[in-house]
Amino acid sequence: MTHNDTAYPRDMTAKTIPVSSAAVSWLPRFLQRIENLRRREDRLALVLSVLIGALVGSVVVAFILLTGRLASHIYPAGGGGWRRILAPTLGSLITGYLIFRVFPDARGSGIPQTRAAIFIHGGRISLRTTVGKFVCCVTSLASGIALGREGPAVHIGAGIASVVARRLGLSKAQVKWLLPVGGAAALSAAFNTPIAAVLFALEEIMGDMHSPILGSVVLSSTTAWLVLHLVLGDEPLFHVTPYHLVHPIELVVYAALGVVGGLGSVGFVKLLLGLRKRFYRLPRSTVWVQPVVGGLAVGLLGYFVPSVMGVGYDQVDKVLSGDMVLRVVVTLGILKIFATSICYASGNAGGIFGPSMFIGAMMGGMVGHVARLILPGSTADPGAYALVGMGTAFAGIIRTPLTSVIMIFEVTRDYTIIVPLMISNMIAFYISQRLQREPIYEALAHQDGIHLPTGHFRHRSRSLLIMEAIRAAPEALAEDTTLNDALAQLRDSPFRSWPVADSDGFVGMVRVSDVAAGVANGEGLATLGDLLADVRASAMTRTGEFTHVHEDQPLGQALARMGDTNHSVLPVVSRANVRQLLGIITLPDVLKAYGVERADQIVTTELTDDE
Amino acid sequence: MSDNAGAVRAGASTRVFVLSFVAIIVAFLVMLTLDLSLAKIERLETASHAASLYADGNTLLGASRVEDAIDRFGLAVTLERDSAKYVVGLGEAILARGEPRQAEATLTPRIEADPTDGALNLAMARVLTKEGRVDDAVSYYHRAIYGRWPADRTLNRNQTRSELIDVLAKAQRREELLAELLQLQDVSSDIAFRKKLARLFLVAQSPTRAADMFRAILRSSPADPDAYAGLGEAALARGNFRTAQADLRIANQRRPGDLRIDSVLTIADTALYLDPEDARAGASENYRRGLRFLHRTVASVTACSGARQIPAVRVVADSANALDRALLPAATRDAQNDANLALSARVWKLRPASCPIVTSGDQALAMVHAAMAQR
Repeated sequence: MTHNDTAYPRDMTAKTIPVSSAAVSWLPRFLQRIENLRRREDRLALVLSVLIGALVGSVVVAFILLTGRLASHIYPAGGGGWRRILAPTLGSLITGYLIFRVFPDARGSGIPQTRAAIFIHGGRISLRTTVGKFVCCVTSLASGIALGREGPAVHIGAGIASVVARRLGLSKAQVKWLLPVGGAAALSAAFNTPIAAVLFALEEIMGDMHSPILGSVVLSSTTAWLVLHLVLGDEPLFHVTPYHLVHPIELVVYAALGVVGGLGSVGFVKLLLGLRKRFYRLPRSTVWVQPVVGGLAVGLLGYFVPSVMGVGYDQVDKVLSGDMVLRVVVTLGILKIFATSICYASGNAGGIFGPSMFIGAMMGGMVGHVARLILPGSTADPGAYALVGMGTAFAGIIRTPLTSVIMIFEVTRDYTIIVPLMISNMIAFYISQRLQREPIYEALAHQDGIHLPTGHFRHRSRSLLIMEAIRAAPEALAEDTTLNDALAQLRDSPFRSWPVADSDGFVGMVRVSDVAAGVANGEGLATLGDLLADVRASAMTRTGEFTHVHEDQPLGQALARMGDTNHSVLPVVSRANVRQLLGIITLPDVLKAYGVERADQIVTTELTDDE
Repeated sequence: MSDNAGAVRAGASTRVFVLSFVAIIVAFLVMLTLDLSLAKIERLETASHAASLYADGNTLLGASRVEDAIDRFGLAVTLERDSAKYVVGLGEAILARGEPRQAEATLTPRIEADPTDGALNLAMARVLTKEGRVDDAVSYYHRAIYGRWPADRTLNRNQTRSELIDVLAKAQRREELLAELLQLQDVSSDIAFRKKLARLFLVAQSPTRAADMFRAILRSSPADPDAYAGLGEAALARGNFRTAQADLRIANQRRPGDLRIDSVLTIADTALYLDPEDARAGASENYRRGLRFLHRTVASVTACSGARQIPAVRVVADSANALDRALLPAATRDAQNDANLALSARVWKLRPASCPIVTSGDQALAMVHAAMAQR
């Protein structure tokens, strides 16, 4: 081939020049746009929410499908009963070893770990942990371990979000915010309930229903749900018959279901935590082999009652359609409580979200059957009670009552179920709260030596208001008081600033140090009004108003304002009339409200040093 | 210089950012491809498993192992909820267990989801027929006939109509039966099918159409005894007893010993023996037949009424006996014959509706009365 053969004809080359120059001009513009996107946090958050939702959705769908494929190979149709003993035993042995040696953070459910990552580890979940969780849970769940896939899916989703955010070089705060976004996407794909996933991310993971990440969570959840539907179609997770209230007396039965659900939930949580405590007392060298106890136990149970193995959603489907007799419902409910407790406590990979649903469905089915025996003709099919029971157990075990109501509503798409569901859920939630103070995920984290901030604490620390630390204002000095007189009065003052008023009311705060400086400069005959005018003139406030706070503002805002203005005392004024002084707030008062010991001494020392 | 270094650093970090973005999108596409492949494999395996369970179910149902069949069909439905075929199988197995209400409950949600599916509507029609709800069943048969059949549409529709015709014939709903038969009369040239259709025309009380069909059958199969018998029955239904007798005799010769033909022939013979308006018989013979006809009518009605003899019948019976004994001159015979026949008709009307027509004699009597009412 000659050089001429490979050369472009002249006219063709001429045509490529503009294209090439267009490409050259296009690239910087594109890079500039990307750079702009990077700098606009709000836009970046939205784009990342969609991307993370799609990626997490596709990974979780793969997680579900791979678990199913592996399970169908481990348990082929017509396979012998011995498989049911061997598979979970071997599965737990493999995952136990992997967790011990390779993926130490892949143990357990994943929800406490996700919360720990957000509140303690600055949003960091490693790629290794994410991959480990995926591999271990696929192996564990496919082998028939009686745990669920939703908790691990949340951990995987949060892990993907963390890895993606860190790869993109986002700040720690941004990484932290993206974890619940990934978690919600994962739950949406794993449980096919996008709205409940949003609520779960806010209610359980963040513990804050007013979190500013709501928009991002909604976007990611919806995107993941779309991916799920694109791949697996419109098939619902559970097939439920239309619900209807047969007779008003059923509401009493639903209340009874709430009691049964609450007690059952507490029993399950206490058994699980108790067993886990016992496993924790065993020598550290046995940690890798401990999951085998759970695997063997569930294998032996599964040999006689195969339905107790795995996630068990097919059995939930059966009880929802009313195709299960009372004896089977009771047996499965009791065995599942034991199987899940031992599997989780022994350190297998998998969650309790799905098993909670299973246990709830069985408890509901049981109450439904009994109600039908006692009140034939006045009660709905036991399947309806099983459905409500699912939400009840979820409210009792996971302690997210709002999520549980919306979740069941999403499963049924039936508005009429809301009232009985709420009655039952609230009773179960109340009983569970009374008899088991610590919610399960917090208790599990506690056992792991992690002290997660409770929702109550976070709520309280955010909601501490200035009115809780306000103190009565000292008598204000008149605006026309000379600096000499003022200094004489303020020399022994416990505060570094003092209110000043004119005939119409409060006009501002003067620093004792400013008064002293004025006197030292020979301006002792000037008035406090003059001093305030100078301060106002040099102030950075946009409105020209004096620095102040209102009593309904958070304490954190008072702290921030003290930092901005270098005042350790702030006036608290009325919202209706800023000239009306309601009181003052001091730095020691703020610290005391936050529970800082000996705040007075700290501040006194600081004051002395400062002055 | 430092500005340049800053710009270079910013450019490098933007490139990393862009590459990370691209990596995320590529990762998503890879996972999506994996998902779609896995989902496809799973769907194929599930469909194959469900089909095998369905086949097992049909085999077990054929072997009357209904419970096992229900189990297999149930599993197939669980695997492939969208398949109407499996729901139909399950419904029919439950019906075979003798639980039509349960079968109806199984089929209802699926029909609500897909109201135009032919097979589902047919299954529901069968269930309702079993429940004795013929009106509802007929409605579902029609929905099946005009519904959607993925394959062999015409064949399935004709078979459904044929099944509907059997239901209507059994329920003696003659007008609806005739309407359905008219839709089917030209769909097939199969002799057995046409014979069945012609017989059903007789059930639908359309002997002329039945006779036409039997004649058409005889043109393509001239020695067919069934066609002759059918032709005879059609003639019998039209009151043409002599023709009926002739056709039935041919049928009897072609297939001697056929109980059905023998029985219908006996009816035709009796009817002809009683028919007082036979054009080929003379006036005196018709008069005798008229008297015989009157006596048989009175006897039948009296036997039927039993101990609770209706006074009016008793009076008529007495006058009939009186008539029998009287020897009338030929001039008044025709008028008297008319009077006898009118009397017979009046007596026959007194016959209780609940009175069964069991014997061939009664059947012949009823046919003669029907024929005379039409003449």
